[in-house]
Amino acid sequence: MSNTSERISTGLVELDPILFGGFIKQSSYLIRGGPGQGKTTLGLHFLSAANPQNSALFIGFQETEEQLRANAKAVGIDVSNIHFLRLSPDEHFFTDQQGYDVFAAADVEQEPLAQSIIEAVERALPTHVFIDSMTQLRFLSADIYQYRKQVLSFLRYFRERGATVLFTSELSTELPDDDLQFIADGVITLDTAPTGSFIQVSKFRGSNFLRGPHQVRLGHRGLEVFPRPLPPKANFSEDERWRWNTDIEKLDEILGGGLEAGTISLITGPSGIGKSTLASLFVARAAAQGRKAAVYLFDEELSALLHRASSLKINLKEPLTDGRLSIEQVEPLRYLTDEFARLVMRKVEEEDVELVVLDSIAGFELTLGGSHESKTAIHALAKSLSRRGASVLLVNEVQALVGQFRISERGISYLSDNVIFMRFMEVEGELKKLLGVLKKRLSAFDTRVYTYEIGPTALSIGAPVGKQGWQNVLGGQQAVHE
Amino acid sequence: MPEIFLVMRKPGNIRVLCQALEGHGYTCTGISDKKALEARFEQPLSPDLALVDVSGFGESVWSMCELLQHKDVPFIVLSAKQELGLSSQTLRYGAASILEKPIVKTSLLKLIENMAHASAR
Repeated sequence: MSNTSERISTGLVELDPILFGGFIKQSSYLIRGGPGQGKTTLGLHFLSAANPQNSALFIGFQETEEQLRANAKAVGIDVSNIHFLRLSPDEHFFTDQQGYDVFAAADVEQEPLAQSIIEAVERALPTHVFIDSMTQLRFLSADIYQYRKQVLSFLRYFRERGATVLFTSELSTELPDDDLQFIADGVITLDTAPTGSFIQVSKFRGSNFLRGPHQVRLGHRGLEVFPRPLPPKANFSEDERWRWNTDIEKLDEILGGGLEAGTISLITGPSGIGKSTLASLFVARAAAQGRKAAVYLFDEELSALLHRASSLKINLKEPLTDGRLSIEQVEPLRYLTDEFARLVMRKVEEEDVELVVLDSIAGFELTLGGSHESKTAIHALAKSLSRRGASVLLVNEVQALVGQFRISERGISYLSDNVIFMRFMEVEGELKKLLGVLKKRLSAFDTRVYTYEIGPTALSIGAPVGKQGWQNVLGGQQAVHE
Repeated sequence: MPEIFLVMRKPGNIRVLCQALEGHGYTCTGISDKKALEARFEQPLSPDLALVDVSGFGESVWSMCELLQHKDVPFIVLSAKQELGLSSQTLRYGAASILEKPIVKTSLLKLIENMAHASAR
């Protein structure tokens, strides 16, 4: 039995933490997946991770060594330390009509195959072995029972020689691989969902692992894994928290002094009401106080945001130039959801960014994936940032301009520590803008609803609507002037 | 060293049978049509045994079986399952046995060994 504390890298730095440190030495792992999902690439990453004192062996039943080397080179995987044992037929099998039917394949090929493998192993003495694919052995076995015994014996042979083995299976309804899943010490599946490709660990003997699907990208850098960020267990806590404010005295008063550091805040309202402008006020103030902020725009063009901020005398350009502020316009299809989350986490951890703005949630969903996946991703990301002490501003657009009051149509208000709502109200044929605080978990706030105006400079708060003689402004009815 | 004719169309079958038989001390000669069989019989020594795979020969297989019978060469017929009915007609031409493909290698070797002993007696 292998020592579960001895780990070896998977060859993918982002996959190692999913397995709590990598593969367990001298164990065997099944890599499942349909064609083109990246099984062979994962195997090449694993073999290339063998250090120079060790040796790696690729046992291939399909591609030629030349093809494998070329494919590895194309995605930047160094295969110089890998021994290739090719067990695929050459072109003479076809041209010389070397197909046969007098004997079963098991009768003819099993013995020379075993001999070839033994010779390759004795020659290379590998610590890392990749078999692509174990399904081929099924065709060389007389029946399921023989196949199972063959595989068990095959894997034991490697284990007793100190090797860690990865082997693939070709998934199909005709040839299920349930038996291999039972045999392997671990099972890793590569598959595709509507939101993109993912990797999922479903079995890992002797160790815990991060459950659930983690997005992957198979591209010019080989296989890239993006583990979903998990919020750290310990919550960020300070007795007296720093508060983000806007430098607009009345607005900060309504907020009870501001939004506490390390909290998640939702700015919600219909299109064109000033949500991004309000977020910009927090960002500009943060920069003015020497704190770093990062804004991710999913809807609006960067130039439009800067132009509006400039016209409202909100200073974004200067902090943008000196690095206190970063604004990224996130293009559709550029990132996978978990890839984006990793990008933001790195920004916070490596560049000491303290305030993150996601503008908007609807754009986040459209740009990065389906709504259910995005909701889970936003939850994980916002919680992770918050527990690391960073603050999050989520800009949320509600579809209804007026009518029945709703915080959000996306069911994410539960996530927010603070909710600032903005909405329109019709008064005698004129649209008025209203602002109020619905929720603050950490401190008291002004519960009254205020009118406000944007421009000519930033945002100015008017009187509470009650004092202006209006009532029922959130009820969806026309405001009544008493 | 006993010699066995491998009368069959598929080079792949000749290859794997040669590998199996030569490993047990037999010499194999692959023969892929009637002309080659006739040419081989012009040589002085006759084989000890022949294996005839009926697949792919068409009508010419009967005349080859007749020739083997005429030359007193014992032969075993190899047949695919779907050709067993037709292959049974080779018994009229003196086939010692008909084996369904794929054949179990050890069974074939045992049968050949028994036939070789019988002919030696």
